[in-house]
Amino acid sequence: MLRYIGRRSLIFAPTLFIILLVSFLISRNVPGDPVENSMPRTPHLTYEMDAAERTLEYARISHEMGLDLPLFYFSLSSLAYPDTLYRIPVLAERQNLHELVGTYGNWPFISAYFHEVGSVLEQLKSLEAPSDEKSDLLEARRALEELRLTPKETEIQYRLALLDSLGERVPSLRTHLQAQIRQLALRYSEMKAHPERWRLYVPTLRWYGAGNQFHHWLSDLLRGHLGKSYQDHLPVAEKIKHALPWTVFMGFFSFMLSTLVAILLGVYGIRNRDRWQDNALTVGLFLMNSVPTFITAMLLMTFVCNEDYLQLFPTSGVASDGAEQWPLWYRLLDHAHHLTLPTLVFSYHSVAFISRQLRAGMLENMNLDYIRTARAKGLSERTVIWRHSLRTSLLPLATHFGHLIPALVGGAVITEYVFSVPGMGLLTMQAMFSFDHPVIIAVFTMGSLATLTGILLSDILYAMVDPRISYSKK
Amino acid sequence: MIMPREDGTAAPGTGSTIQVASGRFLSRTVWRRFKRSKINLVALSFIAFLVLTALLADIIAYNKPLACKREGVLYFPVFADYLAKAGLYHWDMDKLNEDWKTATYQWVIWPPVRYLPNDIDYRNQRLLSPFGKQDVATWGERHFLGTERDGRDVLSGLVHGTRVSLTIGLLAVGIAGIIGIFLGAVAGYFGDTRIQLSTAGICMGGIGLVLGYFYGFQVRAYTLRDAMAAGSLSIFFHFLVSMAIFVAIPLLLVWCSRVFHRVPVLGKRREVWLDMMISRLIELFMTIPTLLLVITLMAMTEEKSIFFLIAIFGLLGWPNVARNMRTEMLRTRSQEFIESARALGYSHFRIMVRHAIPNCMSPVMVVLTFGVASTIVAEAALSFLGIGVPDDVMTWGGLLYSAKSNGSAWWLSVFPGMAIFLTATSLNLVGEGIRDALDPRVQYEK
Repeated sequence: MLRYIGRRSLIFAPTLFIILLVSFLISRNVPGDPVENSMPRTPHLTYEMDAAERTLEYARISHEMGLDLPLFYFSLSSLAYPDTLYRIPVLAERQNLHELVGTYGNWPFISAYFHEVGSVLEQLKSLEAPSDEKSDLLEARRALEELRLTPKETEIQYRLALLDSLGERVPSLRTHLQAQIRQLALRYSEMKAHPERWRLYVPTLRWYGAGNQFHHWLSDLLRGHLGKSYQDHLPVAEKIKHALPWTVFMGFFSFMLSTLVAILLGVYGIRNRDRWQDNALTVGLFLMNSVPTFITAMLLMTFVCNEDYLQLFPTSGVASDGAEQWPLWYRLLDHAHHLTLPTLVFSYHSVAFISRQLRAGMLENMNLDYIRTARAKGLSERTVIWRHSLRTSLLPLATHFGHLIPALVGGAVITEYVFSVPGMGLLTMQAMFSFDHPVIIAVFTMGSLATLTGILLSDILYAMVDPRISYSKK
Repeated sequence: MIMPREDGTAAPGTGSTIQVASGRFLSRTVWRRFKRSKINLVALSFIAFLVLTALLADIIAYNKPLACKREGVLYFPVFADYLAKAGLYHWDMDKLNEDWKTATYQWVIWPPVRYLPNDIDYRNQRLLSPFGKQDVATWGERHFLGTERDGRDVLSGLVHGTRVSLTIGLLAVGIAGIIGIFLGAVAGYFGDTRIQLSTAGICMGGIGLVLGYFYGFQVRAYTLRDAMAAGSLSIFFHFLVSMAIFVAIPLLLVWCSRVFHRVPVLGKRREVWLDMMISRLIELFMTIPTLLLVITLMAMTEEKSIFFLIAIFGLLGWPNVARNMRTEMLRTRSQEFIESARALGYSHFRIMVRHAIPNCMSPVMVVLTFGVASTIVAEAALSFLGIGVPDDVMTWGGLLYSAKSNGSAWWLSVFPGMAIFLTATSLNLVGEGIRDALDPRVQYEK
């Protein structure tokens, strides 16, 4: 048995790794700049005094998040890319350089051009100018800052031309910077004149070792550090800690409920097979299986939680206003009142699914020899069904539970969203609407891990109860 | 496929199916058994009705007349709009921008519904009930199924939503079907033993995959990105080019590895575990919580698009198809007609494509039907969550989404809910009908 569990887990190891890798890759490809998003918003500081501080702060956060490291243990890129491109701290500049290399392939020239932009910008910043030239200087500065970010040929040429004309026209620029601006234009034309595109077609494998983003991300994950929310800068783990109990509670409760109801329905159907009760049940379960969760949820919302029709249940949340002061049992009752509909909506799919499976399994059993033997022994129909037929049919269900988990995760999102239950699903949706990527990725990672564990467990469970399964021999 | 209930229901019954004697897809026997159940026929006709609605959506609901005569001139505005879209017709400026509802006609034939899904009826805003008082000039301008908050017509949204739902369902399942059938067939047909390569060939194939990825996708990364911005046709073309490079390079390298055949160690022939690899891949995809992944991916894309939605559903939906195809193929490949084809000297590829796959298609059709149903439901679920299709595309799920913030408007939840439910149910019924018709153990009472 232990050997089987070991083997099964081994087979799951690559799956686990790939799922983690997918989460990681998604987390590194979010739109926008994660460092920007994590920075405290400081709208009051002026443009001038802010800039230097911001750069330092940016570098600090980038380092803290480990974003100044190579992405993975190794990289596959072309000969054209320098192996230290990841050290450029600002994401937008890094992307710009990456695309410039992707266009021309001649890193030394690109690097020279990029450094020239930086040095002209530095000199421009330290330039003392009369007040009537301030706006022109600001314009030149903007043009230079945009040059650091744009790889498009037309845009670069437009900005260079603008700088050139400013250098002709504005006296302070003409005396101090005109030579440098000319130099910059020269660097650019050199870069364009000596492209080395062949370098882009030579694949290069580079090894970086353990000092990479994936390694750090994974070890953070193992230690429970899931990053910080963009929204309120709280740790994501903290948020999940508040949300998870509701989902787990609802999931557990609805699991018990649906299994119980499903077994009762399945047995009822079998005991009344070939009568109208069974037919009605079959049709009913089929229809139940076909109604998507969100439709049921919406219909219930419209008709049972609405003052215009029937207001039997509260519309949203898990507790009434001011419930904190109520005595404990009253509070529990209040929670139950709020959670009845979500749990029902969450469960009915599983009820239909499980009892359909159960019914099919039992129907096949009923004609088998061992059932006939049981009957021949003079056992009552009740004993035959409950003790013999049901037991065998419960077996295959073990595997289905594992495969139900992905659906439960999805179902939780919809149910909690409709009924505003503050669980993982609602957390995901709120994060989704506020573009809070760390939260979404954390939930995705945890959901996938839960699914994987569930499937693994149900496989092992299945092997434990069914002696015919063995993984040692094909 | 997307929703899990098909996992369990699709699997049984595919093990022992009726031999489809005449070969292709669904034979006459299956059809005869299928139509014996009345409910199957009802479901099938409902699907036909949906397809017709989707095709004729512009004739059923449009804000211009089908045909009319004004000042002695005959117009066919709906069809003229079609021609104008194709660049074959040009409206006069005054006719283009005018409101056709208030125009005066000598005679006119209107579509049954006189609104487009995004037309805002300013006189009938704030959620008018289908049976309540509506501020309309004639009976024909009524909103038969009410309006939503901004005064958009619900029925028109339903009619045009059919088109969106079916398009997404069919195209996504088409993509999933192609990938799934191909991978499943390869896994089942070749198994772990039928393909043998020399050690050198395996090594070079591995290197080829890496190189294929490099030249197909990494070198072309910026080309692909620009194509993405240019529109769906060009991204499709460039993606195909990349895929071709990705596939061609490993094949070429494996072919080149022939030179090592005589070399002692490198030339030793080994089995390629295709089945094992593809099965692991299927297992991997089946463990991904699809809805969560779609939500995550949708959160990462800056612009919503139907194309993207189709691609995601297509790329995530194939494992179930592949699994069933593989099971079928394992059964088919040892049968006599395959053996005789081998004896006739046909190539593996030809046998697989021309003989084996067509014989496995019927059970796979069942899975595909379930797939369309679950994709339509999944798309509606996403639109209901407000993250599926672009905001200006009216869908069933989108109507339900507007119901969430307008609790008392029952017509906003009931009608789209019914549409989704009926569609999913009839597709599931047809799927189960085909499966039962294929299953010799199922007896039909006279």
